[in-house]
Amino acid sequence: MIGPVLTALTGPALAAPFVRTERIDVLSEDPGTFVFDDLPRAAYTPRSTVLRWLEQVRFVATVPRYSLVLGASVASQSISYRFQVHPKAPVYGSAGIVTKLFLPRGLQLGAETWAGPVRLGVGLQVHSDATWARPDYTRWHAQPGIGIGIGRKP
Amino acid sequence: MQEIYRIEGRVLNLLAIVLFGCNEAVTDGPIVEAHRGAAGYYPQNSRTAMLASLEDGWDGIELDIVLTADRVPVLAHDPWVHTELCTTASGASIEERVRIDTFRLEELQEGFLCGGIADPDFPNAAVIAEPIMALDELIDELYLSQAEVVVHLDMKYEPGWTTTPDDYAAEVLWRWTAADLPQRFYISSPWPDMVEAAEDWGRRNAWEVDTSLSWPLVRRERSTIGQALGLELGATSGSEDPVAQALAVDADGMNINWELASRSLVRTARDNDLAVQLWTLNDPAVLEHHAAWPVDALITDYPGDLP
Repeated sequence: MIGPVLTALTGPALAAPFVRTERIDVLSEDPGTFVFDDLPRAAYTPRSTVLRWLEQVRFVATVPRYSLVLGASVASQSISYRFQVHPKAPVYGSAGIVTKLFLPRGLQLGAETWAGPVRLGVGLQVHSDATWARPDYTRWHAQPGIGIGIGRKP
Repeated sequence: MQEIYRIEGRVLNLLAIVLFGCNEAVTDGPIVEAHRGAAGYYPQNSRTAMLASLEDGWDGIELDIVLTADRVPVLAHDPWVHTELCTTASGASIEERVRIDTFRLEELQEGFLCGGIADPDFPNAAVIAEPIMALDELIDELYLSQAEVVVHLDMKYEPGWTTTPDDYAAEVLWRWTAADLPQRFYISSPWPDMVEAAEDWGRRNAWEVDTSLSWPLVRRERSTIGQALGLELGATSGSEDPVAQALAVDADGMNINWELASRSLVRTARDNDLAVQLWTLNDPAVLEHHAAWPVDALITDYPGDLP
């Protein structure tokens, strides 16, 4: 009796790889500033806008066993816990910590859905502007974000 | 019912902050500084440019300072006499860089004329040959005009090319303070030790000296594109923190290259009580766009072109 139950519980986790790559976000909600701050300057400074776009492209991996999502770009790195909002709906929520050069600087909440290999996400970060040189957590800002990614549906 | 309204109010406040960025500092709008005395219209850093800028009534004038051999501040962008825009007094071209700090003021003003060659960067600027202007002459003009103008002194101290930052701070600041001018001024430099020297001079002489650390510091001996790329990646990743650099030298502001600027960098600077100036925005649309940012000054070669 207990054997099949244990197998049912641990089997998928043991069979799945510990970390697996999931997607690339061509537009990332972390840190989310590209659409609001950088894109409006594209006509004036296309080179730095392209660079800012590249800096926010995010590579995302998951740790399926713990429902964790790890994201990293030049601009930001994050670790989030992801959950399916409803078993029948392909909508996921997430909550996590955002870092800059791996220095924790805030929290983010997000929601995402998938259409085939395309992920659409929205997020809201509440973060400080702390850096390793200036670990200042006295001021906080809210930053909305929109995400578009391509990869494997969770 | 009232409780519901209160909750709705909080939600709407949060939405306003999220959607409209209401947590950014609000300013009265930036002033416009005439870069090198409006180099788009007049020979850069020239007497003509300075007098015209005072006459034209720009909010601010930015000019560059180099010390001569007898440590007199003069208006020049580089530690040497400009090889493309200046000639000898007899009109001969200058083939090699001649350092300004190898001439006394009199020798410099008698030996060279600048602005008499069309500036390829500013094809519509006036072409007028004049001796290099001394800061003392500008101070006299400022005193006589009593113009309401902010004067931005960009110290062209540079290790290996000029004398020390302490010399620059002392020679410029004693002149300025002795003149007791009504105009507000501030000093900028990309070199932290220059800003520090100006702040130290102010402390020693009980004079409030406004300073601004220019960012980025681009070194002559290295590739400009490579440096710009590295600085951009550094600022975005957090390995380079311009605000921390400005705070470390007790600067009052930051003078930021507009292309490397970002709203978050500007906001962080302002959150840390640093004034922010952006340089050098020469397109009217670029000026208009950045005039909406929470910055204190926009520096342009064409101050009359702001829509």
